[in-house]
Amino acid sequence: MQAAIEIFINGIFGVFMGLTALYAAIKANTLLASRETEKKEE
Amino acid sequence: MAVFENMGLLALTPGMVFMWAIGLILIYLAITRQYEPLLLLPIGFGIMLANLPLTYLMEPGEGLIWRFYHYGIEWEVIPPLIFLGLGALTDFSAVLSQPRLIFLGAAAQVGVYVTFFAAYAMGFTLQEAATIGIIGGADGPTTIYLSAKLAPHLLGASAVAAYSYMAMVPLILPPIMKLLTTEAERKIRMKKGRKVTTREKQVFPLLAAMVIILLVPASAPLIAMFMLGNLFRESKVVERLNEAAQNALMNIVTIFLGISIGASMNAENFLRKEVIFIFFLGLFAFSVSAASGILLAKFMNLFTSNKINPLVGAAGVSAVPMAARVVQKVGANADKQNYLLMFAMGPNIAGVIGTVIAAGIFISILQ
Repeated sequence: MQAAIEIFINGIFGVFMGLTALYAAIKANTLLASRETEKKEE
Repeated sequence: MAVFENMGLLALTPGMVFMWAIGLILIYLAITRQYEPLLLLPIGFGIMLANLPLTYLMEPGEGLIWRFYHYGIEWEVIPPLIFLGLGALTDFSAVLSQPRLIFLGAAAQVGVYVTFFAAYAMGFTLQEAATIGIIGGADGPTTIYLSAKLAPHLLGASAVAAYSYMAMVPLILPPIMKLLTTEAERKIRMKKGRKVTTREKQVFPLLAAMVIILLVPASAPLIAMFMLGNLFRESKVVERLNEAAQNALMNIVTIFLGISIGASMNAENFLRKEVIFIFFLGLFAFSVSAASGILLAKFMNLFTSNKINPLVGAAGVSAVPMAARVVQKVGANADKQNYLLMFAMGPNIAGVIGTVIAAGIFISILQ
């Protein structure tokens, strides 16, 4: 049971960690893209 | 006489005949109801073949279908190739324009882990419980991939459960959605996301592959192929590869996948009481996943003025694009002018990524 609880906690934490990192990467990508657009407009 | 001794008819068992009935039901559902026909049709036929005695089609080292199964599934070739095609078919605009919706795809994975825990408590091994839990992710290739790695004896049952429930998304999701939301919540109109540039779409597959594989290396085979397929699509310079990944390759591997899964379901493997539990737990996983997405959307609404329609959370169970279409339909029942499809595609696609991460975590811990 101990192992199952550990996998349960690790799993939920891992999924949220993975998708939070992806969220941060998308935000960074968006920021870079908007700067590039601004430069082009200038 | 030798001709009688080698006759399959004499080796027939009642279990085999029962499995024919299951195969025929799947073929019937595929043809007349069009429930996931691309998979249920070859699976149904594969079941019938696997339960014809003395054919040795699944005989290790000899049988024709065993070769498809061994080199396609056991060698982990087919699920990643399907992901290549899925990547080529996926437009990430919905995720990129509203990245906060990613978390709804993550919440849907709660169902995977709750079911994993429930299955383990019911007496399944950790590996079997993981295979049953992942059905809640509603992602066929990931279910097959994980099952082949952790519990190959459950492959047929878990794959059929996953594809059956994916086909039944229009029946399973609406009651859960209505139960967990109020009429006013279902009428929430979401603000349109910004326009996504081509460059962003081109950078995303590279970025996503790097980030996810660095964090969960065991997810690499599926995520790498998913993002490669998407890079084919978004680069706009390899249209032939993009077209091949979306159509020809996808169709070819689907044939081998379907028939191999079906043929893994012989009476001896399938007619056990555990299989009934797998179907029951798979449905439970699906329901908890949808409910978790809805509840997280409601929770996020407590902290933002830019409200999310909680129905969108139910699309976190992958089942692309069926779950998103169901969200659109239920939303339109409350408000005909409310177009939720594009918003629902965000968690829907994030759900696919989330399920792959969940599978990667299971593999890294249990294998």
